[in-house]
Amino acid sequence: MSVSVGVEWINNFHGDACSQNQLDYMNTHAEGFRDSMVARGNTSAFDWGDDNAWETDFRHPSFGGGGDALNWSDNVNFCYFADHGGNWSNVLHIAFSKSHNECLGASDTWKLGAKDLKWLVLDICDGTLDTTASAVVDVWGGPMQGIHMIFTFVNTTSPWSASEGSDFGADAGNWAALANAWLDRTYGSSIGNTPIAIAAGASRDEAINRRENETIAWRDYDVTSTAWLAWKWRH
Amino acid sequence: MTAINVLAAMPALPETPPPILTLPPPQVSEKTLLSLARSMNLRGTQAAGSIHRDTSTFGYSEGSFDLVLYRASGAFRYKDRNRWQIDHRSNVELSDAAAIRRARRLLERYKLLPAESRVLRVSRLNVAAAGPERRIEDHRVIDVAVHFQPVVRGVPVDGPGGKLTVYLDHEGLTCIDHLSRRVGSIYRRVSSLHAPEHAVDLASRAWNRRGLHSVEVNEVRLCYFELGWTDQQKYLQPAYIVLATLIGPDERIRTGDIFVTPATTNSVGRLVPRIPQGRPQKLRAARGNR
Repeated sequence: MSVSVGVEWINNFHGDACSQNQLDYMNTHAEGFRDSMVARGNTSAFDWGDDNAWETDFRHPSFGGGGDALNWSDNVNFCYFADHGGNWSNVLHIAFSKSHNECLGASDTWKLGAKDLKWLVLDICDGTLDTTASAVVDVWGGPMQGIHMIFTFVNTTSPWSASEGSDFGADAGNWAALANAWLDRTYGSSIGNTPIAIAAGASRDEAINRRENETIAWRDYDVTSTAWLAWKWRH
Repeated sequence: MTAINVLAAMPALPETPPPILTLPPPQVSEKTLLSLARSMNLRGTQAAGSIHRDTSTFGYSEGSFDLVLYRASGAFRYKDRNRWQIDHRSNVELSDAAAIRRARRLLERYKLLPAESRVLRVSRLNVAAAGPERRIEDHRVIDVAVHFQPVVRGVPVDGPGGKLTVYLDHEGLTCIDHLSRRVGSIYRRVSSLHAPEHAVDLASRAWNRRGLHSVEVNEVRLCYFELGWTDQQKYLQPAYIVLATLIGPDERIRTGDIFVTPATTNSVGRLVPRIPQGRPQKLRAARGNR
């Protein structure tokens, strides 16, 4: 079984309307993930960095604004996005260096998994603000529309090394349980960050089963509804 | 000009500057792997288990136990793959103090406890679920991890490396991460340390060069700096780690940042590997090259 992979990352912003603080390591995280997955027999569909990463790649067309997710983020099985994030009003925002068509992508314009997307890494801050039901379900219950799992961080995090993405990609590509691999590869005891993996399911048992056991071999085991979320985090 | 707000207290400095130490090349082979397996109470023979290898590790599996030894660092992970991070529907109710006591005893039993160490942090692996009523159900802790830092000549070891972590579930030990290189002799004595304010000043200049909007400095640490699992490292050097939060122009987008710089006036080489350069991309076409 082969999984298709797409990655987007942003290190460099400009002093314009989309201005944010410059980042390091985002290219190495995203491309490292992609390279590790490809080395294990999976396929790379796209790699968009800096100004080539666009908000429309995540916006579902039903929300207008040139939404093109069905041709990009939702046209692959595994998407890795490395950048800034911010979470307010129960909406996650991701920052782009070029307005195409917005500077900020917003999770309330996403229908993740409407087509092919099964797993999304949001290697950003503020994937959730805490681990309460309201923080997790109010942000992710809506946008998860068939996607199996999301991997991200609670509050802020700091990249310690260039290899976090490639390490996670190696584990994922070797069919490790995805949630455990994410938590293992991204938790840093020195910095005390909080990685989190969120799984969806039509029932509680399904969501928990995915959280505990899902590997990339589960690609074709569809999530028929996101009635339940099950999450796992280290802190 | 980056706005910099220093919230951190500066670390106290030792009376005598800690020297730069050598890190002998790790002894990593199938023989040391099997010897290590036996020290972890496995049978540690090719008949009892299986050996596997790749470009960065040697591995040994026996029953449900995996031992992985890293070629570059000599670091290893010993785990029970049937229990580590696995949800067996239990809830671990160990207090921090009880977990630390158990973890110390385990490290002593395996002769892995450094001569001097301190507890950096205790972390917990949590699980939870919620359904249509958006109420948390089944929130449990499935392991408690005690993260130790070795202390060398009175200075804690920090960085991606410099850790011994013991993971405990409801039945006991599930995994040990030993990411702490063997320390050799003095390579170079240090006549003086930079002041910690010097590290903040260097960090500020770096942030200015990056054109950052605003930065809060949350913590400044003096440590011996150790790299991660797959990095080669020849010297253990005193360093400052500056932990900061980068704040974006509208103040709603924040991210962590780590700045590392030598603490000594006569440091050796680079502390941190250079960040790999990205591959240049052609400008994307209007339709996105579909």
